[in-house]
Amino acid sequence: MTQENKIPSKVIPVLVAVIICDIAVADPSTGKSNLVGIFDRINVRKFPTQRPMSLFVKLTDADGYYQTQIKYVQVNTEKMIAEAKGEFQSNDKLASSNISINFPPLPIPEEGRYEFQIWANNMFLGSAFLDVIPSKITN
Amino acid sequence: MVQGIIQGTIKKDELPGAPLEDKADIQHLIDDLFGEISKTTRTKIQKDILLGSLRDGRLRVIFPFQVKFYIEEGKIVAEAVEINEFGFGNNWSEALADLQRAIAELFITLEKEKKRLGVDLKRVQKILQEKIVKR
Repeated sequence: MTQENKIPSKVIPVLVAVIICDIAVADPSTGKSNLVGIFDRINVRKFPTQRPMSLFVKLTDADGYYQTQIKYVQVNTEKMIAEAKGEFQSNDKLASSNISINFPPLPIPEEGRYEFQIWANNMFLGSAFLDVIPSKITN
Repeated sequence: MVQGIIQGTIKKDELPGAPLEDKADIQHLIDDLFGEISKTTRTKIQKDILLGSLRDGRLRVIFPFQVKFYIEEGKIVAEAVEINEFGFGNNWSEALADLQRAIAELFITLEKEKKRLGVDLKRVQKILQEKIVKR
């Protein structure tokens, strides 16, 4: 990618999907995305804790160069706990771009709502929520 | 969350759903609404963003909205600066989601009522048409 091509595009991509799951992986032989263990809430016995999570993001209508940011944020405190940065180039507006990210164990300091925010070229595209609920099961 | 939704809904009912026959009435309503907001204590949060989606499958944003955030009476307020539209919530996320719904509803309502709009609402509609397209 040349420097000239790295001018951030002003075309706003359409966020088709954001899915939180245990494992998001592309099949090396077919290129198909496999999502295992999709969830949007977790029960936690003891805080603070941490959990590995994966994120699958599907974008379309992208045209040009994009710097992407995925922010893992605790909604109540608005504190950004983790961030993943990347970039991609799309030369076909009609094509879709799939992004799979396998995060290391992400901190969950307390109960409440967390979200993965998707940003492209500093534009907010959308988010996926994760509700963390204290587990009532005791030993 | 609930409070944010209720506040947004009230605002929507009052703005586009107002009796559109009388331009003076609409202006009066807008002045009342914005005047009231400006009287309250408002603390700006150092967080301005570009909003590139509306959470509405019917609509697509082609030019982003500039959004500023304030704290007002303990609530977070998200303001789409170019169109003076607001979203409310207990946190940044709720306020932004409320604003997204508000903008989408405003766009749809102004489209429906386009023959009956006054000068100010026509200006707002023009901005919305530059930024939003139907899918």
